[in-house]
Amino acid sequence: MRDHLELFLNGRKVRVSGTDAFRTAANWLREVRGATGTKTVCEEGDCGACTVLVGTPRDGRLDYVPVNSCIQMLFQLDGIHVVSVEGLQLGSELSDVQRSMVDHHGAQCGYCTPGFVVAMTALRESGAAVTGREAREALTGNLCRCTGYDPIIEAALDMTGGHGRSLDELYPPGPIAEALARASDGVRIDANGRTFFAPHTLRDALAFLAANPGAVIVQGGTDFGVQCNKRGLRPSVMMTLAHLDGLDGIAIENGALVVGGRATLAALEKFTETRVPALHGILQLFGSPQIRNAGTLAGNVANASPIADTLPFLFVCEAELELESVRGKRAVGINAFYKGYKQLDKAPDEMITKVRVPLPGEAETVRLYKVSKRRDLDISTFTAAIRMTVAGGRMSGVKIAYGGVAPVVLRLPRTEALLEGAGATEALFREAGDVARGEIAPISDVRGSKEFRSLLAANVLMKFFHEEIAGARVAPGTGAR
Amino acid sequence: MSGHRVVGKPRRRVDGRAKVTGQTRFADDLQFPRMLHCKLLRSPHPHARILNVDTTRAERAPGVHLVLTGKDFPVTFGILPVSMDEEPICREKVRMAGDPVAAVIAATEEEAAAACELIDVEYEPLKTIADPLEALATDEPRIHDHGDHGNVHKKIALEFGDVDASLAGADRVFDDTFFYEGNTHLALEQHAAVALLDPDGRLTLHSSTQVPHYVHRQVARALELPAHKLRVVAAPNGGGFGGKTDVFNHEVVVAKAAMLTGRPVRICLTREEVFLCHRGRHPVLMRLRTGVKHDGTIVAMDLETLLDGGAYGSYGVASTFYTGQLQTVTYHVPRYRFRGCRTFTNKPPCGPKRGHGTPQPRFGQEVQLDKIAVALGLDPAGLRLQQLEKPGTLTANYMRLGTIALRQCIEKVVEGSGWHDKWQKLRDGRGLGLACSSYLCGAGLPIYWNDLPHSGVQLKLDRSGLVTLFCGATEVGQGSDDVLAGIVAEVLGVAPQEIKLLTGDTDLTPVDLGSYSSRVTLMAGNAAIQAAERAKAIVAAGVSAKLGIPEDRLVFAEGRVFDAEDPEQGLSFQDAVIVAEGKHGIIGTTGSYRPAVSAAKYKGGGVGPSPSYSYSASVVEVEVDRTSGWIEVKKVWIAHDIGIALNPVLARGQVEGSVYMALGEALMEESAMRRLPARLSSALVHKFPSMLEYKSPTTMEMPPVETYLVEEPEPNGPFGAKEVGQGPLLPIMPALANAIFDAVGVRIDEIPITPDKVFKALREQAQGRTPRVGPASFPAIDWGEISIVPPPWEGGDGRAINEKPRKSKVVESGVRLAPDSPGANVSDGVKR
Repeated sequence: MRDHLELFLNGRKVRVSGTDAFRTAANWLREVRGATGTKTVCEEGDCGACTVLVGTPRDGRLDYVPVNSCIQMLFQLDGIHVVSVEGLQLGSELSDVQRSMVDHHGAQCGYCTPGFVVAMTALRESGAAVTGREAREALTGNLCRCTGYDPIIEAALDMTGGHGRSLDELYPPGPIAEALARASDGVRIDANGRTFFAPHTLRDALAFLAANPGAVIVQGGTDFGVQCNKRGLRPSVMMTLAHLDGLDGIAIENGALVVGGRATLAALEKFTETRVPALHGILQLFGSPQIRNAGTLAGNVANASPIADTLPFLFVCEAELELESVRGKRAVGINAFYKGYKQLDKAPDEMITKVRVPLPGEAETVRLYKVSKRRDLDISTFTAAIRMTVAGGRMSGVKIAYGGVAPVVLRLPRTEALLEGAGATEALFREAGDVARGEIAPISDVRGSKEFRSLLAANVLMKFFHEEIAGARVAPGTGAR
Repeated sequence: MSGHRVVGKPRRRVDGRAKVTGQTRFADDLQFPRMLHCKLLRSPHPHARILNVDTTRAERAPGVHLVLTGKDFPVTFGILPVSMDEEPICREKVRMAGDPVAAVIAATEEEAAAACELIDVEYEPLKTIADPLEALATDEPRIHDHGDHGNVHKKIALEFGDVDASLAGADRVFDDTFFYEGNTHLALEQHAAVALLDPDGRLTLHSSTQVPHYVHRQVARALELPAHKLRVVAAPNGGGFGGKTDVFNHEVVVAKAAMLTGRPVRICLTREEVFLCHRGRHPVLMRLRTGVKHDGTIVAMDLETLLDGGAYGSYGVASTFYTGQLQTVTYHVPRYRFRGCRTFTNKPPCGPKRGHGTPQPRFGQEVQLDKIAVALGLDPAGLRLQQLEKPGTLTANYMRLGTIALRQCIEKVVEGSGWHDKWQKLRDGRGLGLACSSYLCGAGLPIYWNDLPHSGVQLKLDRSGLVTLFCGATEVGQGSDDVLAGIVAEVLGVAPQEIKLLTGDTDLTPVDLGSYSSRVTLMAGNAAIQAAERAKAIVAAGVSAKLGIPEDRLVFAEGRVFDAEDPEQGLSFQDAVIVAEGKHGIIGTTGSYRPAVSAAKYKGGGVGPSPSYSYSASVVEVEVDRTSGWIEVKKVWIAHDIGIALNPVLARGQVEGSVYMALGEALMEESAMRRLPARLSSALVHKFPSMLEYKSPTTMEMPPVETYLVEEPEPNGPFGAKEVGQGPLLPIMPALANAIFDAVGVRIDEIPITPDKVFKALREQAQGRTPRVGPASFPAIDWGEISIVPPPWEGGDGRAINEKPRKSKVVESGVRLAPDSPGANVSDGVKR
């Protein structure tokens, strides 16, 4: 058991102990390391100016992905190679990304620039030639107020073919991965009344939870970091699952998607691309690449937000959560998991180790909806999942879940019952909209009024009807999509 | 531009390398030994008397070095001489939720924040004023004891010719009301400042400011320091857009704290605090009446504007004038009346954002022109082309225009977009809109009146061959460093990257008024040319004497000085400087720039004059979904009359950045406020005080932009250059609104144009009602006596014929406030 963090920063091993471990990674880089190229701007994972690469050792290699360092606690980066903008170049030699950004005037004021350069480096490291569309999607997590993005996108299309070094050339992965592997035992840091624990085994994790009920599990931390920065959240006991083997798996077993407790949304996005397209579609709109690289599905479930993007899908698939504690394992259906706003059917000593999602059959239609003010990089105003089988004009197996309309994600049993077994007509869907409005209790907040949410609750059913059932009957050119 | 080696050629900007490597040192990146940290305690009340501030517990808190309250700051400050109404820390009352009531200076930021919680403040809440209508209706309590009356900060009434007579004689009069919601700059960088005492006891303030010279003046004033005891250094700004052109309370506070503690004191605002600093776009309600002939020719225009100023004066007097003064510089307006009113409200103060005061009335004017074209069956492009103002004109309100290449701009976007094949010809749901605009190339007058240069440049050339440029201009991302380096490089025949720049430092660099009003290229650029030509003459004299080549035959190019007739004969630039230094002595030259005196002699005529005006035209194509009101901008064509482009890639970046910012405010951005419930103090607070909730467009929202730089050299500009940082923003919002009308036949007479507004207008349309969303009316305002200024073509001389003669008055020691300064017509009512 170590009493300090061991990580690499820009190719050099760093040991961190005491209260520094509890800083955000961005704050540590800037204030402790003097690496001020990383900018803290929004402090809520929105703008990407704080983007750094985290290189995770995997089979002797380092897999680099961009994350927002303003909402990552430094303790989450134990055993990681962190590359900040300062680490992208060798001496005075610009990297290919930097050279391209200079050539194309991708920087004006320069404040978002380090974040863009780092995110683009991740894109370049993937090795694939990118299209303009792919470059734009890869950079949705980075906001710029000066350029209008075009020069940056042009730079992204022109960042190969230079003589700059790749990350693996700058930082040969073997020795770093080896040094980090040697350090991969458990970590516990107690400082200034706060405790951090990174268990090496599940048994240790469960024992720690039993001893510290209510300890906060900080895995992706994408909401936790925001709460710390903006609301002054300062929990005294925290644990990450980063060093636990086996919890990051994603597989399809007996027709169910099984997602380990620390599998990231990015990994899930990749896995579902061909296997579960409906879920993949909504994951692509989840936050930003940086957020998806850190956030986990189990975290999204446990965070219990009524507007969590993944939840309506899990609800209509009647997903099952595997909860473990020293007392044993139990399964809870997701539809019964939420007891009220942020109230879970989960004991303080339990943790989610698996999310099991029975997948809909091929004949079934499943559609997921997200309404937000901005298409990408936004928090939902309203979410919905509608699942059913339509055969011979009749509907069966109807399951509907809405988010953003109550303190928890809701199933709509009365609306489902109205549609179940009935013929699919516009009039019936209109009626279903009225019933749906009666089953929800939306509130007004900055993201939308309760009237707006109520309207959406009805309209999403009409949209489903027109697009999925009566689609062929809509004449082209009327603007319906 | 033939013959130029640097100017007009696309090149890397000189500060690109530092920025892509993260090595640019912004204000928040500065760290000093023994540095302390400052946090401000801010009022939760929007309007309240401060009865008591008890700091006892905070002073004893861990890590605390100093606690400051309003008592420590007896002197007010402000950016305009007429509204010195800001306090470093509030003394007797707070005027908005977020006003500072105390400051804690501690060893760490966390300790400072924790100690703020230990300060006990007693407030007596006062009635709050939420919007201009409430302000007009509420004389008491007054938010400030200065301003025209009650909660009216400033009223303006100007008439250039008998507008009523012209409107009565017009074939048609179009009468529209528009509303433009406020929005904010959202620069990526938060405001930050560090103050420290130099070993000799003088004070240095590093700050993220666009205006180090004005900060220098105001911090010296607020701290009652002789100006030469204070040095202000502007760090490169991580975006400004006008949001860092005020002097801010936190700058004064850390300066004072450094003096009292003897240690460096730093502050970096949180994102929420940046929203409180604001100074963003004023919400403006407008009524525009325009009389036209049957063929669309404008005979008169009558504009009324009502501005929501927020809690402080800021640039408000100038902003108010700007909502009217540039309406005449694009199309010929024979007679014009402008009446504007700015009110105080208990909200974060509004100020200048890119386009300062002009996007709002421009939106109204260009949307109304579209309505006129449709009503009269005219082509909107043709309607504009037939009445463009002529180069060199003195307008109805005495703005002297320079070159105007707007015709070419319109022709470019019309041709590029296929306007004639598409406007009114696309299928339902798809449409095109066109709009034009104009902007200043630098304000003709400084914000405090003086007859000194607006810009100065010094050059040092020495035997190392290095050229060092000193200038007070501030790099805010717009490329001022590159413009200055490029200009000097052109004259001296060296590479721009080889010029060392030292900018924005009040100790070391000559004054430049700042990076605002699109003034740096023209003003600092002209000063740089003068300094460089003087240096060139010295070097040429040296080389001529040494090599026996006549001076007028010497060419400065490619790092050499050589004989035009025999290029082999010459010296390297370094050797040339050595020779010249030997002959002349140490080489240092200066350049200055001051604009010509304006023809507008009436009160308020100080706002609007500029050495030159840039012009822009844009076509926007949209797709509108009738079922949801969803708007997708498919493409933007924009042409900008830039005079000449000093660095075309950089210029293109400014145009496209303007288009981006314009689309953000046209479609989604708004500084909407909300009233908290009574149990939470009823405060008026930002609805979206976070980057996440205040939406700005991502990579995915940005449509393709086709940019045309139209070059017709402006004699007043350096090498013929005009501004490019602000003007291209202006036509986008109205072009978008006009495109939406073309697509689905609804008028959205307000900004932002959101899907719900389009949806609402479509429903009105479906129900046979007027398919419009916008304000219903403009309130009746008692405008008082109007200043009557006959236009030049009606025998006017630029003065109001009913204006009482005015005496010049002294506002600050040694500085005379002249009649034509923007602030001259309001007395400085704040006593101290």
